Amino acid sequence: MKSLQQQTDEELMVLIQAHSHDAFSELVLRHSDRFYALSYRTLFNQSDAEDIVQESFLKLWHKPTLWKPKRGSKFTTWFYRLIVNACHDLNKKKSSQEYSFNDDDHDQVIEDDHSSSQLSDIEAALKQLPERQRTALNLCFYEGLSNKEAAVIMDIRLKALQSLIMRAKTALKEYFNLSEENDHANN
Amino acid sequence: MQTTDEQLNELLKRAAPIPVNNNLAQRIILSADKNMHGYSENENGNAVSLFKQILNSFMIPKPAYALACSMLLGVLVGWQNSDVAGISLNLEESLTVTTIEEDLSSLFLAEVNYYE
Repeated sequence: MKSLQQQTDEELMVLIQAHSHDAFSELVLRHSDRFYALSYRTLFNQSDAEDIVQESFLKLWHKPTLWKPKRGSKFTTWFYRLIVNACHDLNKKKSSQEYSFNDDDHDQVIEDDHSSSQLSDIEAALKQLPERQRTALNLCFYEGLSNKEAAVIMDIRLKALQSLIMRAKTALKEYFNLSEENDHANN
Repeated sequence: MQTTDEQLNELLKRAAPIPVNNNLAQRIILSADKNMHGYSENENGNAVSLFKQILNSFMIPKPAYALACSMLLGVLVGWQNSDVAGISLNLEESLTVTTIEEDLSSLFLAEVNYYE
């Protein structure tokens, strides 16, 4: 009989559906860092990224039947989608909260701007991308997924995904060209 | 100078490293372990609620209970007094028949007397 380490993610999921805590632990140890990385690159906030991953895994633990083995989808594809949607929801929630800021909270906004200026160039460049473009780039470039897998995760067509990546890269190129021009102008 | 695709890829690869998470995996595993007890309680709860549902399916409304009880009482009383009731009914029938016959004969006699 195979040990837990030798079992595939899908086999572990079947065990988790039978409430195996050991199988759940193995799955968490195997994938938490990768999902945390995606979450961080989407949100650029460590505690938010950790919360998203933790909540998603606990959701899986409480409702393991959400994953349907018969559909033939890989566990990682399904869980990437869960993380992407959770990040999207959090961003939406945060942006609606920002709209509700009044004048008294103005200092807080300035503080946030200040912290964002401390981000590295590349982080700042990625942060200014629209969320869908950033997610597409994260999945294909940083997570090393195929365009097809990324399209499935984002629930869009392959051509739409390719278009998102192209636009993201164009925007990044423009951003860096602009930065260089500004640097030259300053010098 | 335009940034080429290769340069852009190099830049993206040089992205700042992701901050190390604070034992995220261990925290998740511990949280799930804590909730595991809740799991078994939940399962017991499910069994209890299932039992309650089965019991509830046998429940009937109070008016229906009252009707059923009164019907049962009626059947029991009727069963116990069936012989007495039968006799009394027969007596009544015979009595009624007798009185009607008497009435008819008296009427007939009265009519005969009238014509005579």
